[in-house]
Amino acid sequence: MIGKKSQMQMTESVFVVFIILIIIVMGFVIYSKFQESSIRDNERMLRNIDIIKLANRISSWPELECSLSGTERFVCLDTLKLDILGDFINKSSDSDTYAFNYYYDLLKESKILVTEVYPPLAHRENQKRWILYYNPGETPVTDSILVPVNLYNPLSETFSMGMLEMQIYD
Amino acid sequence: MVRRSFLEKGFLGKRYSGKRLLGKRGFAMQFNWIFVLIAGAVIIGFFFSLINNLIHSDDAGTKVRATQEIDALLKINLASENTQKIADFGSKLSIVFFADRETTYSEYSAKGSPRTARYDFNVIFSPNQLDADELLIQTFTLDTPFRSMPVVYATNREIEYVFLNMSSRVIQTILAFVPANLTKKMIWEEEQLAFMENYPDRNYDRTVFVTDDINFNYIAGVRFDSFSRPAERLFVVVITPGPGAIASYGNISFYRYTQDEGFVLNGTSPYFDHRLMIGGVISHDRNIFENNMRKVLKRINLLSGLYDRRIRRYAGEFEQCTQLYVNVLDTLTGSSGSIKSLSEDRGELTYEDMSLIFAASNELKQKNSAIVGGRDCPGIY
Repeated sequence: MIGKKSQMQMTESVFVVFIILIIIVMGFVIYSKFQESSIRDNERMLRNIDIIKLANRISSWPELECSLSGTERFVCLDTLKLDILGDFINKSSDSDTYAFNYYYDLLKESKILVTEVYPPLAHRENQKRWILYYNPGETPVTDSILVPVNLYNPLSETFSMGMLEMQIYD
Repeated sequence: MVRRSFLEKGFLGKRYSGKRLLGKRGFAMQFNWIFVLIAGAVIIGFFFSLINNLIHSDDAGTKVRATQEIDALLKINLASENTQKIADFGSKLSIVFFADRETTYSEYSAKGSPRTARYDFNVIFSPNQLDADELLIQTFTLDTPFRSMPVVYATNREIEYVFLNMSSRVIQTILAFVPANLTKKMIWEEEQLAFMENYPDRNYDRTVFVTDDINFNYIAGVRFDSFSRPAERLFVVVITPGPGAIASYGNISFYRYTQDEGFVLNGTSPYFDHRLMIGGVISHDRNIFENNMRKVLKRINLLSGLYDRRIRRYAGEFEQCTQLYVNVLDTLTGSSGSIKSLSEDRGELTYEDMSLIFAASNELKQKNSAIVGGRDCPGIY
């Protein structure tokens, strides 16, 4: 009788230890999940900052920068250069290997769009839009970042306001 | 009475008597011991290999991380214009640069790293190996014939650059543009120049003598017997400039020291733009220099094509300047002698092509000034 009772107590103890172990493991799993998502958020934030830096660098590329009688403007893109470069990169993906590889080395899997936002038009869909680089991968690793830019039209010698939209993919 | 040993009692148990030890069981006991020894050796070996693997993988991981850090550092500097800085690594690091002379293939890595970082599209003039805990970095934007790309000089203070004869205009040009913190020594007194074999070994990783073709005779046949490992540590870079006020184009010759023959020519390459020539001095390596020259030419070729399209649009829009734009197109992308045709990849780099690129660049600058200054038309760049 005593033996049976102690056997039951033993089983109970093992069961309790087992439950406690499960709770501890669950705690670890939940904690690591939280940590993982926090690390991912941090990583995404750092990548977003990198994109903003890249946007600034893009505006100083000779093939895009505004140059008005030798002067340079801060984050300013030449709209005629945008026309030409966007068209050139998209075409070079088929024909000119060096040109596409050059831009691929800088921009990897990403998309870069420029949209004129000011002066506003009655119909937003009529606002000018340039697809500078479009080589999206499967999963975006950054948010779609909008960076305000100056747009300069050398033909009309006028300035407008635009948004440089960038997103990087895996 | 046969006295049993501790092993017989403990390891083999009570059943084994002294007599049995001498029989078949005796062999069994010995076999057990051999088995224990072998198993023990295997287990110890396993743990040793495990520890060795861990140390090795940790070391490789550190090298890979170092390569990534160098890559990030150089890429960041490529993005910043006209800067000079000293990057401190915290501990001594050996960086190896490899560049193919005939293509734009190039890579760098921390020595021993299983992974390398490619820089096929970036111009980085560096020696083929840098061993130090810091890196001297200078960046600028190349603007011959137009603003085209960032250029980086990467070296360290463990390399001594010795400039021969300060009165040479080539040397004066170089000294005006090299990084301020470079370890440099100037020799201009005739007595010192005449006895270069007395130049002391100051224990730098490398000593690079820089001179022009006129003053090369001061060092050409000199033997540096006082230097330890001179074949690994002594280099000469000789600039042969073309005509003109500054060394804007010319040839650059690379020499290496050999124990038997002294300095031996390793090859000559042409250059345009004095700052690219200084890149040759910084790297004192023909492969790295020509590899970077090819990258510059490819980039100029690419931009020439883009500017061509832009100018054609301008020519259509601004009729009063059409003829000026047509003239520019002739210099920029004409069928022969234009910047685009001269910057095409045609195998070997030649002195003639470099001199023509330089001449075409000057012509383009004049034509652009005429467009911008004379009439109300947008410039080409």
